[in-house]
Amino acid sequence: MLFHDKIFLFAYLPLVLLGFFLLKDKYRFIFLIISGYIFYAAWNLKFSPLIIFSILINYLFSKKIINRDDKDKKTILISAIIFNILYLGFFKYSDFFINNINFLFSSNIKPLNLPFPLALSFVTFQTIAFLCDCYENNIKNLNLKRYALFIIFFPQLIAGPIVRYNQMISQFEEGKNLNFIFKNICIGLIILSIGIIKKVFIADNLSIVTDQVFTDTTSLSFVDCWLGSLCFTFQIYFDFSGYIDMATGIALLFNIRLPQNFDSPFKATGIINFWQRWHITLTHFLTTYLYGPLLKSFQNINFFNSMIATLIVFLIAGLWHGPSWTYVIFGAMHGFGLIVNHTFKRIFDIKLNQFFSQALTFVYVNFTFIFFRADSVEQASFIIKKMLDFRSINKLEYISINLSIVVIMAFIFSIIICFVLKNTNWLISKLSLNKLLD
Amino acid sequence: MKKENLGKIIKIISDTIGEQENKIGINSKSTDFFKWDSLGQVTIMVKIEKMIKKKIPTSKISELNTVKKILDYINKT
Repeated sequence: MLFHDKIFLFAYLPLVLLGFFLLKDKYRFIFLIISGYIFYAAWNLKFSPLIIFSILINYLFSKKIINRDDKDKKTILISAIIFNILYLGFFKYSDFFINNINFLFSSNIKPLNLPFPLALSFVTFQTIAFLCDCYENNIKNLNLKRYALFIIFFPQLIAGPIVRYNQMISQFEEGKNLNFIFKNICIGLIILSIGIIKKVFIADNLSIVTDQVFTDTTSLSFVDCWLGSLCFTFQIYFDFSGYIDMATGIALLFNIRLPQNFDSPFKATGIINFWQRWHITLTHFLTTYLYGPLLKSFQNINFFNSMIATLIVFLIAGLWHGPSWTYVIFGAMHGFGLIVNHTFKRIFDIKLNQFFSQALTFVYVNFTFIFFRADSVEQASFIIKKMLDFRSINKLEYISINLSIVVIMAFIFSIIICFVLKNTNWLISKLSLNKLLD
Repeated sequence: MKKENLGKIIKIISDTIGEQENKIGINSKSTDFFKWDSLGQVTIMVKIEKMIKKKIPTSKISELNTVKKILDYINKT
């Protein structure tokens, strides 16, 4: 069940909303937990107990961590983190690992072909951050009901944003948030609609071009490859930011404000700036929970080591996106981009022309996303080679892919929205101040 | 002690972001320097942790983004 499915929009969501506001306060949390489980189970009933198992085990870990105040506290935290990484690794990376072993040692181990449990990547990061908060005694009023709701609250369950326990639970328990707030319903519906438009009218139409380019590369021209890669870069942005808008809008219907996850990322003036605007909650997680501890493990904390740590973090982040070398290269390219950006900033105390740095960043990001979308490293390399073959630039008329008027419109809208217009978060702030909606 | 800590903090920030020490003062904040970004912030915090030999809570990492806030935090711990 996806947010833009008819069954979600016209059956599930209205029923959950109705139940939430009609029920007595004490039953609302339980109702949202059950609703979240139904939403999750709609993906695959057989594997849905996996999320319950994760919730129960991590709740036990968190209780153990909170109740200890000795050196065992750290051991329990490390065990809990290892458990979560192995749990994710077993389902997501077993076959990747087996295939690489088979390739390296010419062995013939059969892949497990396990289905990948929905949401597990996000739940793992969110849970690690939560466990670290438990370790630092930052978690207040923990009980199973609150913890289960924090994990399974359906708007942010599948693909984030990555939220913090205190940030969410304090909103759920805020007295005024249990009331029906007309303004939040209006803003929520507007943001949900924007998300649906981004997904259905822009991302899905751009995917028509992307699929053509990344399915059969044999007869692609210079222009085809540039168009295909640009369409994918816009597609992934509208897909993901559209999803986040839908999640933000839906959460707002329940008077819950999710953190901002995108801030016009294609207006970024460098790779550092790009990651301050793209998937913001992931960047925060990576710098706080991965980069910081990694840097601490170095004997000397100097610029060189901080750049090594950055590269390692982005290799891990790349692999987190998917079990394939193409994702690792995607991460490596961003790590490399960050190193170049940081080094440039350190050596030259100058700011480049905004238009030039914005264009340079966008083109570089566009190249990285080719690895994100390609089926193999070979395919990505082939497309990049074609894109850099400027000798064929005089064959501009040669476009082998089919471009409908709707696709062209989606592409033009993408450019306008990404480079000219303000973003959804700006709109939310403006609408929140609008007295007409009170 | 306070003055000594201030000097150490300024040196850490200067080394991390590659800015001259005389350009950083008690009233400096992250937004004053385009080189003091989120990665620089975490690096500064890791160095401060090593200096005070105490872990800075994760929730404080992004909060301690001015020289004064860092100094107050160190003097309190």
